[in-house]
Amino acid sequence: MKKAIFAVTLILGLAGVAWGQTPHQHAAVTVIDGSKNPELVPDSTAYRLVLLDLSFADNPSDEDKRRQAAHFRDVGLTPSEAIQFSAVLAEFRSAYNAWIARWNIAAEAADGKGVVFDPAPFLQQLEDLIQATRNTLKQNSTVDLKVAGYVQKHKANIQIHKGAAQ
Amino acid sequence: MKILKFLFVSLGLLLSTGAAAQAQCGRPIPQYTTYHSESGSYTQNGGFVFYSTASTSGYTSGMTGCAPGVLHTLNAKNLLTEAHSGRTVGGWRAGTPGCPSCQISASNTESTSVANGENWSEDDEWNGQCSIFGAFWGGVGVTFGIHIGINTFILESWDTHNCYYIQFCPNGNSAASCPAATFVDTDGMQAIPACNTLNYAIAYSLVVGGLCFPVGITIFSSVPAICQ
Repeated sequence: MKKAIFAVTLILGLAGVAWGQTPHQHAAVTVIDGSKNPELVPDSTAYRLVLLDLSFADNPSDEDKRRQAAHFRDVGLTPSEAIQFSAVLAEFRSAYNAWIARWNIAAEAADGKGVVFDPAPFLQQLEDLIQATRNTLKQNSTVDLKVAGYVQKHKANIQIHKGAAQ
Repeated sequence: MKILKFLFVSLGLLLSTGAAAQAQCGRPIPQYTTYHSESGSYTQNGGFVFYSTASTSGYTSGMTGCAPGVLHTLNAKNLLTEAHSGRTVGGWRAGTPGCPSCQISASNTESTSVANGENWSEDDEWNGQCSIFGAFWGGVGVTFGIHIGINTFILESWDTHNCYYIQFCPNGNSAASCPAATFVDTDGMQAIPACNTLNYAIAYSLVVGGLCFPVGITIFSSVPAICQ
């Protein structure tokens, strides 16, 4: 009897250990490395990441402002162009934050119900936002040209990790 | 005997429930981008500041049928290290957790002063953590060097507005990390002192991964600087 109880306890213990483990298995992920293949990085992805990087989150510090000014110099903007570009960035960031909020409300609702979240309409909204921002930039051809050059150069700093179900 | 029966029933329930939970909750499939950016500027006290950001953002698909409350977190590493002193700045920074299908991000901005002769490296890395599956994604890290580039020019001619220079490195023009054959000090003749009173122009850059970032400063001097 004691041996039987010991055996069951041992099995329960082992089962508990096995249940608690999570296999360290990763999904199959394709990586586009912009430092090797910048031509494979879509313009919209590059614009999104650059615009996010150059724009301010809420309540920028003096350090944030100095950093942005350093990047603006790398873009090659004159002081008046920098003011124009700042306005475009602020508008983009505000719209982007609103887009994130809409995505996450829908995603949380889907995940909460255990149903598949469809990102397609939101990804299209993002494409539209990027295109609208680029159209705004085109209103000043000099700024547009300088920002475009900066974006193309910075494709080298981007990696895109696309997972696929195995 | 009753105890034995109870234990066997418990074991059966435990194993079947666990297997069902694992079978229903799909593994996360990452849809992430990573980005890093660098820049630098000259400070009023004569030093240089290097700014760098490592960021990642995106969402996962595939995690249907999971229990409510699963959270994902993205982490971004941005570690700056000075080769000679071993001084380090930065490290890992976590973003705000969110649901598996949510858009989440992590951004890690660091800055450090860079002195002449220092050799810094930037080491960036990214990963994703799931509250039930643990680490499920890791971005390929990137590492590159950072140092101050100096190029010296000698005055060749001037007119009523500008001074015109050609590259002149005392240690050989090939020593300059950011070479340029010529330099023009536009409207330098209007400056005090006028540009034709000093023979040398010394241009500074931050060199990041072999790329030159002009930091917006050129110093005029009566003696040339060693190029690097």
